[in-house]
Formats: sequence, structure tokens, C-alpha cells
Amino acid sequence: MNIEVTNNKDIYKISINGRWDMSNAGKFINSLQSSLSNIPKSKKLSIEISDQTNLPLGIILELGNILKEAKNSLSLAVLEVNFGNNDLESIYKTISSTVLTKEKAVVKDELLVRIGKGYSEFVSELNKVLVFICLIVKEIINSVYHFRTRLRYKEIVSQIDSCGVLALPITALVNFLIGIVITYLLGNQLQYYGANLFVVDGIASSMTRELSPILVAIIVAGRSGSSFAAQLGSMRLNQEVEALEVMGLSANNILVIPRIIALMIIMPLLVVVGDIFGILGGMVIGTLQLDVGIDNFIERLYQVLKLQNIYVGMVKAPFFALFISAIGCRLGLSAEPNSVSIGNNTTSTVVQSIVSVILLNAIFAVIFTNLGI
Amino acid sequence: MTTNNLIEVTSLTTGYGSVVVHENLNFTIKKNDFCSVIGGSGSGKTTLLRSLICLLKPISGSIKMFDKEIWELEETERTILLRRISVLFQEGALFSGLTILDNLSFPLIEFSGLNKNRSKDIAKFWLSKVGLEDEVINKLPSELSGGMKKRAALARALILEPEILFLDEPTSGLDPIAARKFDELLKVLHDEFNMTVFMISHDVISILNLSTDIMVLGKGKMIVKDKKEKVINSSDKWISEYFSSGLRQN
Ligand SMILES: Nc1ncnc2c1ncn2[C@@H]1O[C@H](COP(=O)(O)OP(=O)(O)O)[C@@H](O)[C@H]1O
Ligand SMILES: [Mg+2]
Repeated sequence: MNIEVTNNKDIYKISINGRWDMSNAGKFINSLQSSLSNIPKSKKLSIEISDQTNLPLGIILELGNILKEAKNSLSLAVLEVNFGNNDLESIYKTISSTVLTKEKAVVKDELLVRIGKGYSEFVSELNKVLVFICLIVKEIINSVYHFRTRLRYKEIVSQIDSCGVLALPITALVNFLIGIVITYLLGNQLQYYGANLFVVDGIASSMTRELSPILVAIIVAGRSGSSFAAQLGSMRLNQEVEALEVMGLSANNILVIPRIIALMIIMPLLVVVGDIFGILGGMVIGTLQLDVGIDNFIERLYQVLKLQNIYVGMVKAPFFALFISAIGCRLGLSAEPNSVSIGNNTTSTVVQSIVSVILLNAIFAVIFTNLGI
Repeated sequence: MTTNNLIEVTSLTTGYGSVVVHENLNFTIKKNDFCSVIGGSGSGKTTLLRSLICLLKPISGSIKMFDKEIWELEETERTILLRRISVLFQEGALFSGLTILDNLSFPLIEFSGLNKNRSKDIAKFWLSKVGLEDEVINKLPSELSGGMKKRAALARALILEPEILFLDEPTSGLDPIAARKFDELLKVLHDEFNMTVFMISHDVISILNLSTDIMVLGKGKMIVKDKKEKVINSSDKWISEYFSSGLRQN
């Protein structure tokens, strides 16, 4: 399996020998090209392919292409390809007459154009999310108040199980650890004033009002939002969504609404679990590190833990849930039927969900402040 | 090198977990054979194929390919062996996230050490061989019709010019004209490029046009594997009904 160059005065000969297969194609091309590069311009060149030589079609094709290029660049006086008795000759003739079309170059947008396009994409995406949410809310209201379409209780329950019950351990763990960290940092500052006990005020209000809802939202976006997108995306890939639609069933009704309702029911409860474990984390670090006795901690908690703050957290949660699940479902259903698009939409789900949760949270903060809550 | 047998199967039992699909299969495939496999749905044709191409470990028995026991090879040896064969899966199995061109270039870039430009020419050549126009190359598989996907998948299977080509129902889902074109293509590959073919099919016409050998699988066992002429003229009731109703249908 080799390529040899010999020359006799002005006549150069490249002989190709051996059994080549496609896994050597790269090697073949490299050695042929390096052989050609040793040949001076305007010479006679003959390519010899011996009787025993075996070349796959792909290599024959490239041989033709490379010789064509070489003929121009080396301005060869004569170029012959000799096959001897090899029956590859007819194949070579047919293939090397194959005309391959050249492709147009792709023009890239300029920076400013790309920024503009990105911005308009962002706006239209936001618009689509809001429209989708309105549509779904309308359908939910219809089904709840007018019994026009049946709610799928079984599906809702199974979603509550997978999005809520199975998320309990991770929610508890994350909130517990964040509770520890926040209380510890807070305690470190308060120690200077001998006001250790006030860590209870800090952890109780921050955990219930802000931290727990946000942490739960992030966990749910990562766990359930992304899985909604991937599930619905692969259902589209298998044409399952189309199958539902031609049965006269609405994908929104069967696939989207149960997920949204399930998440809206379960997320406030996850927030409460998060509250409990966050404060528990605070209690552990308070008693172990900050010398707040367990009795003192509980007594203080009893005084400063406002139900109002817990409600604020619980009120925000269903709205977060609505956005996360609607974004996940929308991006799943609108994925192109290919794996890359499903992957991209799954990622976008998490990003869009977290951004919108944080935006919503800011809006809630303004509203609650104005209401004096 | 001593025998002409590319595939040699002895007392093979396949199945999933403890569920046996077939027991005690024995057959050989010789160089340049075109072996068609027929059998009712669920008779385990795909299962047999999967164990031949190293996807499903047999429960017991031996499969030799190119004189090597495929299920006893080291990982690296097995990958080298797998490069000498190609498979056209029932649904094509094109990579949904890659364009047709990238689907075809992928094995070349991975295994041949060719760069993208060079592999593009070869990819286009094989697309033209399977009768696809140049304009499909920048499309995604989801933008093609079923028959076009099959052809593109065949082009991908052929691009490394395998010694054995495995086909799982290549003409299912094609219109009759396209199916006969596909037959012609397979015939060229088999006759002119000396490819050995192992084809699962329900398409009686293409089986009769192309095969040198026919294997008939029944529930849990192999009913017969022999030269085409012998199998067609067999006195087995199922076989004669299969061929006569297959021909009537067309
Ligand atoms: N992944 C699997 N797990 C368990 N059983 C399977 C699996 N795939 C196929 N089977 C069973 O194996 C048998 C043979 O299936 P298959 O090889 O697909 O049949 P064919 O291709 O001949 O229609 C069937 O009974 C099928 O139910
Ligand atoms: Mg099958």
C-alpha cells in the first residue's frame, strides 16, 4: 500500500500500489499530494495503477479531483492515467466526469445587524411567552369555570408526584444549606454587637419572603421546566403531538395544562418546605456556632416569624410556577423535530425561566412595598 | 483467510434478558452473497440483525465475522471490525441535528482522516448515486420525505464502502417506483462492487430480483436458509403463501 514517484529525465511517474480502503483515504490524499508537490512545473506526468491495486470509489473520485487541480497548478505538459489491465479504468472514467457543483459562500452579518436581530428576537420571544401564558390561562379558566374541557386529574396527580414529591429532598437540602450559610454570615456581623439572637429575625424573614421562593423556583426550573421541554420536544420528534392533534385532541389541553396546574399547586407547598428547612439550617448553625440556645431560638422565632411573610412567599410561588411551566411547555412544543433544537430549547427554558422569575420577583417587591405588606 | 465465509453463525440463541427470541441458529454467509431474510412480524429478524452487528449480546452461541468471534473481541478490535460493515436501519437513523451533508461527511471525517472539503465531494458523489439532488445537502433530515431519508441513510452507510452491508427493510415506506430504483442500486452495489448484502425485507419483488440466498425465520427458529431457487420452490405452506401473496399484492 504505497505511492512512489520515479522520474526519467522529463517524464515523471507516480505508481499507486496495494489495497487501499476508505479508512486510508486521508493518508492516500496526503501522500499523493506530497508526491505531486515534488514534481516541477510543465513536466510530463503519468500515473500508473497496477493490476493488483484496489481503490475504493471515494479515493478514485478524489484522485480525479486532485489530478484536475494539479494539471492546472503545475501546468503539466501531458497527464496520463494508466490502468494496465485493472478494471478500475471504466469506473475512473465515469467518476472523473462527475461534475461537482461549487457552493456559494455564506455571508455573515455585521455586528450591528446581529445586535439588532438579537434584540428583535428577544422582544418577539418575550411577546410569545406572554401570549402563550394568556392563552393557557384562558383555557384553564374555561375548564375550571365552564367545565367545557375536562381537567385530567390523573395526569395532574402524576405530575405533582414527579415535579413536587420527588423534588422534596433536593429542595430540603438546598434550603437547609443556604439557611446555614446565610445565618452564619449574618451571625458573624451581629456578634460584634452582641446581638446574636437577631439572626433569628434575619433568617426568618429573608428565608420565608425571598430566599425560599427563589431557591425553589431555580430548582423547579432546572428540574421540571427543562424536563417539560425535553419531554414535549421528543414527543414532537416522534410526531406524537401531531398524532394527538389529528385525533381532534388539543395538545395544550392534554400535555400543557396538567403540567401547569400541577406545578402551580405544588410549588407553594415546596416553598413552605423550603421555609422550614431553611430556618432549621439557621437553627443548627445558631445553636452550634453562634451560642443562641435552642430554646431562645424557638422563642424568638415565635415572636418574629410573621405569617404575612410566609403568605407573601406562597403567593409568589404559583406565579413563578405558571411562568416556568408555560415556558418549558412552549419551548418543548415549538422545538424543531431534531435533537439540536430540543437541546437548545431545553437550555433556553432554564435561562428564560430563571430570568422571568427574577423579574417577577422584582415586580412583586414593588407591588408589596406599595401595598405596605 | 482460509474460508470464504464472511459470517459464520453456530448454535446461536438470541433474546432480551431471559426472553428467548430464537434458539440454535446455524448459517453462513459467503463473500458476495445477497442473503434476504424473511419472516412474519415479530419473528425476530431485527433481533438477529442486532446481534450480528454487535448491538445485542446473544444469550449463547457463536458469531464469527471475517473469521473473528465478534463477541469475544477487545473493544478496539471490535471497532476496527465494525468499520468493515455498514448498517441501514429501519428508520434510517440519520442524525437529526446534522444536515444531510454533515451526516454523510461524519464517518469520513471520523474514520478516513479526510478534511471537510474533500469529504464533501465524496458525500455529493454518493448522494448522486442514491438518486438525491444536490439541493438536499443543506437540509435537515426532518425536512426530507421518508424515501429521501432512506436514500440519504443508504448513502451514509455506503460512504466508507463496507464489505458487508446490512439492511433492515430498505424498501418499506417507499413507493413502488422508488423501491425498484432502490433495487437497481442495490443490484449495482452487489454485482459491480462485490458487496456482500444481508437484507431483511418484506418486499417480495426485491427479494426475488436481488437475492442469491433466502433465510426464513419462524417463531423461535430458522425454518430454512438456502439458495433462492430452492427456497422459492419449497413445499412449506407458509413460504409458498408468503411469496404468492407478496406477488399478488404488487
Ligand atoms: N428491546 C426489546 N426488549 C424486549 N423484547 C423485544 C425488544 N425488541 C423486540 N422484542 C421482541 O422480540 C421479538 C422479535 O422482535 P423483532 O426482532 O423486532 O421482530 P421483526 O423485526 O422480525 O419484526 C418480538 O416478540 C418483540 O416483542
Ligand atoms: Mg424489524
